[in-house]
Amino acid sequence: MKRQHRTRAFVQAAAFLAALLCAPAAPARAAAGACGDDLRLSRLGELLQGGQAIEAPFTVLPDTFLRLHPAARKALGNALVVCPGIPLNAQGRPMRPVILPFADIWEIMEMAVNAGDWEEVAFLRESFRPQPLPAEALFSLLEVPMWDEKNMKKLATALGIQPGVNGRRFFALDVFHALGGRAEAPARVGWAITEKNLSAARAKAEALKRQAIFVPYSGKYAEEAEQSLARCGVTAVHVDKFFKTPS
Amino acid sequence: MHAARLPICLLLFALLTALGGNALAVPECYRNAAAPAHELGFLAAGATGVTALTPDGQGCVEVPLYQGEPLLRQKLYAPFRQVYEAYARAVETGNRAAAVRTYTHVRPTPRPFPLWVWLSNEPEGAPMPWGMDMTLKILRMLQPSEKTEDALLVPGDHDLPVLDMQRTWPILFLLMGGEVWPQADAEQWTPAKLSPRNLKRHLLWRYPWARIEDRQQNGETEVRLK
Repeated sequence: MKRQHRTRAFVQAAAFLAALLCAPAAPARAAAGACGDDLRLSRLGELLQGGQAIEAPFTVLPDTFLRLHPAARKALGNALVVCPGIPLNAQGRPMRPVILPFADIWEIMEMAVNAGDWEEVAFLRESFRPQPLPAEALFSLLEVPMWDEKNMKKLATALGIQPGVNGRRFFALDVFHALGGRAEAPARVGWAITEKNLSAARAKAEALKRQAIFVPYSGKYAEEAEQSLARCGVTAVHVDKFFKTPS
Repeated sequence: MHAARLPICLLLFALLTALGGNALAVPECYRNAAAPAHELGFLAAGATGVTALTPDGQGCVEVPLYQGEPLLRQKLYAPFRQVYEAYARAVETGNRAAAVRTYTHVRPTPRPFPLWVWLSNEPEGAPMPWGMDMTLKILRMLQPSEKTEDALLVPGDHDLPVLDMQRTWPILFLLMGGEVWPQADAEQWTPAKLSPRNLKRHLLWRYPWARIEDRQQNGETEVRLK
């Protein structure tokens, strides 16, 4: 019994000593093996503004890496490591693209375009890849971004997009593709191309119990939409052709 | 019996009114903040943080700044009225940098789908404080290279009467990066005040993942969010 007490006291003392020894190191990095933001992140602004050197490694989650202020990211330089273990090269780019949901990458790209930060747009292009999306989700990206013509042109150049729609516009889906985005699996989907016959097509599909997605585009927009979808691995079929082929 | 019920009904009415009012009221933590998010464009370069609203508009979050911008780029939510007043101030003082910084980082708190539910009494029942000229000035400041009329329209969507004041609120809201969030009842069919095509196009400016369905019911167009 006495021996048990002595053992427990020894373990407690050892644990206390270990905690004491490890405590100063704890704020500097996440627990071994765990993937998380460096605990210094909450004070990073103060540390950088105070001119303090940041001891490497400074580990961040992929989403944090995406959102980190470009100046702070540059100040951290090679000390930055993206979870799980993606180091940065000499140019501050991750050694392999960081995969994140397109919605998140889009949000930051939108900020960069609005701020006219084209260097950041190039960084986003080279550093991130969007997660694949189901074919249905790609249809909701068939929308033209709201930027003016000048910004649309600059973004097309920065991302290597050939503006298709009227020779000056492109879809959000083209941005998704330019960043390396693809459909989760190749798919063949039925779709309607004119607004006028949209309701009729939908009613027909329901009557035939056929799954289809309806897009209110016609003419050149429809052609471009079809090509944009094809580039991402989705075969969109004109509604007439769709109903002529058996399910 | 009726006399006994009256005070209870009055109390209930007062309570519901108060609750309804609070849904649009700016929380105290934001009103008392030293550096509220809508002031971001006007803060001194050395500012270390701002107070933003939580997306539901009911609480506050402290956001650290680095070189005058959020250390971790995120949407800084602020009350719609304060956001457009910040734009108006930027226009009146010719401070384009402030307008662009606001445009880049600050967003009005999200509103439920469909937009017109709150447009009918937004903001807080007050009429729009500006004429169209101020709206156009803001647009010119934000997108000086584009024809102002084009900035108001989604490409290819030339049938929207841009000078319709009734529709200026949602356009301004969306232009300022406002998001439309589905409510629990967003999947219910709702009469469409804008044509579904216009509604979809306007929503998708900033909300490209919205999937809006429309149908004809008794000669009326209805829409719902999927």
